[in-house]
Amino acid sequence: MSDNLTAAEYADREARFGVVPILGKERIYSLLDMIFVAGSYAIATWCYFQGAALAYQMSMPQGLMSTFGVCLSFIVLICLIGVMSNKYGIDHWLLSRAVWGEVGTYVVLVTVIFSTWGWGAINAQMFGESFVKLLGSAGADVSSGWWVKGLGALCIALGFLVALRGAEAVKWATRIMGYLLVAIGLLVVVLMLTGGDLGAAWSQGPLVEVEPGQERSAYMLGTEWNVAFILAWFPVIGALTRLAKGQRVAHWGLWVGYGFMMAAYIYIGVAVAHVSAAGGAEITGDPTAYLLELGGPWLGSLTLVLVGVANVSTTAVGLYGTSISTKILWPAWRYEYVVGFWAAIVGVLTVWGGVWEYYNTYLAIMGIVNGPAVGLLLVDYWIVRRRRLSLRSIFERGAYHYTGGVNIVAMVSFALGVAAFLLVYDPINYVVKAESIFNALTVTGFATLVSMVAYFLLSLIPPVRRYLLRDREADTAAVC
Amino acid sequence: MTDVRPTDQDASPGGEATLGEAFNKMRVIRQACLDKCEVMSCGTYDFPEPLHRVDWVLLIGVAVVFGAMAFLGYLV
Repeated sequence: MSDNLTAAEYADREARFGVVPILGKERIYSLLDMIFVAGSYAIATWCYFQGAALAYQMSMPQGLMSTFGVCLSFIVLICLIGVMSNKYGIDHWLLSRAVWGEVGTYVVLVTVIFSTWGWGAINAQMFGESFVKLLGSAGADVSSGWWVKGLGALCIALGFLVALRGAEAVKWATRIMGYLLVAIGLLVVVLMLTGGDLGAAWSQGPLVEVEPGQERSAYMLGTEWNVAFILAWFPVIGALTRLAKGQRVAHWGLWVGYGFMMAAYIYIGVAVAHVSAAGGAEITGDPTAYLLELGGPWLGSLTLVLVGVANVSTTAVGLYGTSISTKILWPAWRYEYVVGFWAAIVGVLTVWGGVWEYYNTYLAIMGIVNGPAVGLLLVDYWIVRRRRLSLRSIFERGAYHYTGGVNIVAMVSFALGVAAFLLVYDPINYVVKAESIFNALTVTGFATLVSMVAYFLLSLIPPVRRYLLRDREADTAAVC
Repeated sequence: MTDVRPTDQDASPGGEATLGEAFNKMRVIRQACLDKCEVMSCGTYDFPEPLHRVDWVLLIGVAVVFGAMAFLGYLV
């Protein structure tokens, strides 16, 4: 991109590739675009990976109830964040300055985004696994582990090239890939209906033998993974919905693309694992192996190719959204360099391979960080501030500076949420410490609730309320 | 409000400074942000149409029904 820009052109460019607010007439995503962008991001092959993990914990009927139940109830939280961003045309990380303070936002943003990008590694690894199996079935010697890592890097490189072109390119890429993703889903369903014993799969229990009396705990552990899973992509939601042509478009686009379609694809993953196992496949937890088993060499291979290609658009959306959010740290950073940085980080995680190996622990970390962060953002804006912010204070030092740039009340509430999580569940050894709470709310749900309630109750104390609502005193005219 | 608008040092005489020249990128971005906030804060800006009552009813209603479904799976 040429550097020969005037100041006005540069400011305009920064609306599309940076933090400058996008006003109504500048927005480009229709409802269909929003569904495809949200859907392409949410329903990558990591849904199959999640589905395969769930199949260990629950039967097919239970998987149906847990997956759709969690996705279509917790999607409320995601939609409300999307609507916030859309109202102002501003990424929700900028709006987060009202919750965390300037410096506090930087800390939370870096923590959340770094931890979230493990998903990119899962995605790239699935791309690599798909093509390695394909090459293997064609007779090539792909026994070295570097094949998967190298092909994973190719997926990241292709996603990087799309993301470099910005929101418009992402829109068109996801339009094409969106249809592809739908085609994959349908193809897999057809494979299951024609090539597998669906009846036997439906009536069998979890794929790993659960001790008698522990069936409900096993179900709730899988449900907890679903909760952590659906909250995992909240970091990029604002960067996407600020481009939607209205709050209803943002809301329904997320609901269909992120909520419903994600649930459907996770459940396809659950079903594939069960049907493959019922057909005698080895239970490996690797969805690409299940697909090959289910479809045979030809249809299975075709599915793997489609899976691999679709992962490129997912990587592109992720890199675009994450880079826009990251620019909050220093808005003058060049967008292309930021995209390159994140592509490199995903590459390193893919080569390392630890996220794939410690998937369950990774999911728990997602829940610890994202649950309370999402909860606080929502309770602050929708309840404490009653949907009104000082926009000026978001962009220059003012009402949201709090104490040295940190909102102490939010930090305390966040810490309480994290403590609540660790009191109920040990994420390293997968040990549930308070079964009644875990089974009633899931541990991420509980931690989210604790943070929200703590923040709300603290906001009722008059001095704390004044501390939080300084924007009302400082700049009443600009609060909207 | 602190005046953060570009000064003569930030732009060439015609106001057509380029990135190759000496205008302060951070200052330009911040000013663009504040200008757009000003547009949104002046009271005449049409914010995007908010969610309708039917959207809220569907959103919450579906969430409650499906949340109950997840719990039903626990009882199975």
